[in-house]
Amino acid sequence: MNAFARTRSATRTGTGARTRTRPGRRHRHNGWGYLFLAPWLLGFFLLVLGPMAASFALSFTDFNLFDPPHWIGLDNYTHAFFDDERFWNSLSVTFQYVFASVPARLAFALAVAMLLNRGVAGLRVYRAIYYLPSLLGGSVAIAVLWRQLFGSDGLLNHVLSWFGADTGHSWIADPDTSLLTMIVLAAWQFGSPMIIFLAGLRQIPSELYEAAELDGAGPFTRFRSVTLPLLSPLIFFNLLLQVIGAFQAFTPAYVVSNGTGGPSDSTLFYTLYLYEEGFTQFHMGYASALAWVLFAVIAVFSAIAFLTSRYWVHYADVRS
Amino acid sequence: MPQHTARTPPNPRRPPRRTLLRLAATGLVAAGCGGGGGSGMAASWWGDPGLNEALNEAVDAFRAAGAGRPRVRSEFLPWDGYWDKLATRTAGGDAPDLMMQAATYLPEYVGRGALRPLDRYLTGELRLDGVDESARSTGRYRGRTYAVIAATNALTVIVNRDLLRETTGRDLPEDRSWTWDDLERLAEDVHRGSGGEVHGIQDAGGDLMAFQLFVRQRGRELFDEDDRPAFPADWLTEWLALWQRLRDSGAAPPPDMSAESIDMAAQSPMVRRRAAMTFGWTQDIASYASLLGSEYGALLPPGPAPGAPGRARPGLWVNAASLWSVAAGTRHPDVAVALVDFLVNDRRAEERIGTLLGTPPRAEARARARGTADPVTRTGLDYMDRVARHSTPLPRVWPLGFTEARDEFNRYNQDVGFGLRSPEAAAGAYYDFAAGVVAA
Repeated sequence: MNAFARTRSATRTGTGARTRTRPGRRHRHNGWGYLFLAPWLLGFFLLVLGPMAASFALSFTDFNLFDPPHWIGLDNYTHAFFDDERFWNSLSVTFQYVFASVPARLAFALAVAMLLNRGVAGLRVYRAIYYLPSLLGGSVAIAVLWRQLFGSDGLLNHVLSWFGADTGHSWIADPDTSLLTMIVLAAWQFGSPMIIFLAGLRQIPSELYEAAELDGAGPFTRFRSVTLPLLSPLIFFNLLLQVIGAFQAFTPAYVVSNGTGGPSDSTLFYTLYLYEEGFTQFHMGYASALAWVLFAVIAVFSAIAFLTSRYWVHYADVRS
Repeated sequence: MPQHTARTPPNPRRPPRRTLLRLAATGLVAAGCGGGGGSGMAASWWGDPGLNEALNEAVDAFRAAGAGRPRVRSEFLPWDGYWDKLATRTAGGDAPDLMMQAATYLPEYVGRGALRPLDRYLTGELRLDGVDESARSTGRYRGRTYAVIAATNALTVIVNRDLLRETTGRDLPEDRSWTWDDLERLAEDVHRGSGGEVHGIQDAGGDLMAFQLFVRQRGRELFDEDDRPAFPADWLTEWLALWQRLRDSGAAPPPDMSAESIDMAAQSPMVRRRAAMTFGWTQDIASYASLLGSEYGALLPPGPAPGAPGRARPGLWVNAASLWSVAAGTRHPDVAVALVDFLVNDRRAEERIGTLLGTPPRAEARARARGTADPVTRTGLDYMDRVARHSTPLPRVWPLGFTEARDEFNRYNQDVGFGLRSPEAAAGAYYDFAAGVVAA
């Protein structure tokens, strides 16, 4: 961010003199800029902003994809909040998922990053290997694999049977454990926060650790008083991204539950419910309202993260 | 500074380069916006690759049979994905010219104005003289014909005879007068006889079609003419409790085993040899046979026990397995209708499709199919003959919203299975839900 701002101001001062002498030129420069931005701008207005505005308007209608929409005011919203059991259930499932999967993934990512940061030979290889699940993570193939791992004839049950445990149980098809398998799946995809943590760990000057050690700090104190504070901007960054991402999780639940959010709605993620309402039942107006509720929820959580960040995120620049 | 050289203004004496660049940029944008399109016709159906191949061959035969017939782009999808995609395409004004339809979805598509009325062709280009009289009107809705039957089927209890013999030492039970209690006992015997390894029958508690059968056996229908539930709510409680009892005794698989294979026939307890019987449609016999290779029987579903409420009658009906419809907005109405005619009436299509779609609706085609049929196919054909004698026609078409009511039914059975709701609570909740979603 900072670097970007600096180059921008530098170029402005660099061309400032000429701009003043020949005012027409600047516009022409802009024209070229916009022209080359056109694909992105078109995409942004036609495929992002336009549909967003449309969905906001549609959220006050009974649009069903085929008939012209009718204005029904706040009915969709009041229906969601006051009559729709599945709406509340899907929110509850999603909150459980976010609150369990994000800390699990971040803790995992930090732990692996710290292991890799101890000067392991072949770091690049390990880094790549640990990053791999994240590349594959959102994919259908992995979710299918998950079915195989946690199904009743799955690998987990095979391993358990070596220890004499009862085997017939399907972890993905039992409402008591199905969400847990999704959380494990999410934690397993710790690659991208790990890479970021690893980069952050390498920035922490070793003198700080040496000084702490001289003062008699054990490994835990060093972690708590040196690593965590200096890493907190990255923890904040990862937390924010992961929370936003987790609220929008869709693919794993869709594939693992075969699009149903089952069994018994135990993996009915919010976005899955939204999809079902919109694209299976064609309650498009209602689905739009659901989307805007999710938008508000994510906005609230992001705001909370930003507002509390000044109490726990340390932007103390090491160089200063 | 490299940035500076990049910002050097282009030489004003070389406008062509700039123009070219702009043209190129505009071209890129235009190319990004442009779509495929093209002439020809689009056709889509659901099914497995074997059926898809047969239908494509039939379409090729149709094109070869007449000069100047347009190219047909076909598309096939599994059942669930088919309806998601067809609805989206229809909404986008891109419905395929020829589409496979289901009777349950017909009200929705007619309501959306997506289908072309076919009545005026029925006396000429699209004669249905050879089709069974009972099946001719299956594509009618609100007084007009929007679809023509492609094949019929019926609900049946499919039995893996080998597994039944292995576990109980018995062959197919007598099915003319057997009752739900008999089914329950037989399923328990399978479970006991296998040492708990095999369950008697797959969980059908969440199958609204099976429940419809149960309701019809007692002389009622699911929905009345005014689209209101027409069965007492406590029949549903009884139904959900019956399946809970079956699960508790091991006669039916535990709920997690059933939940694992929802919409995935290839992983179902039947295919994994963990269940000996299942409710299914007649064409499923061939699917199980191809996946497992055992010997199969098709039984009439059990009837109500003596003393059950209501007026006993056959609950079965001859069902439209699939129908053919033409899109309202097609640019090739005549060719599309000719193709429907070819698929339904022509010998060349019949030879390729056989019984892959279900039972042919023409007696002539059935007779020919029987002549060349393997034992599995004959099981299905023989069963359909029995259904013709032991069934009660549906008094009305499916109500609007029925498909949603059917999609959701399974969840209520699951809730009972996992102990989240009692049968009474689930029945009450579903009754209200169905009453709300199926609306006139």
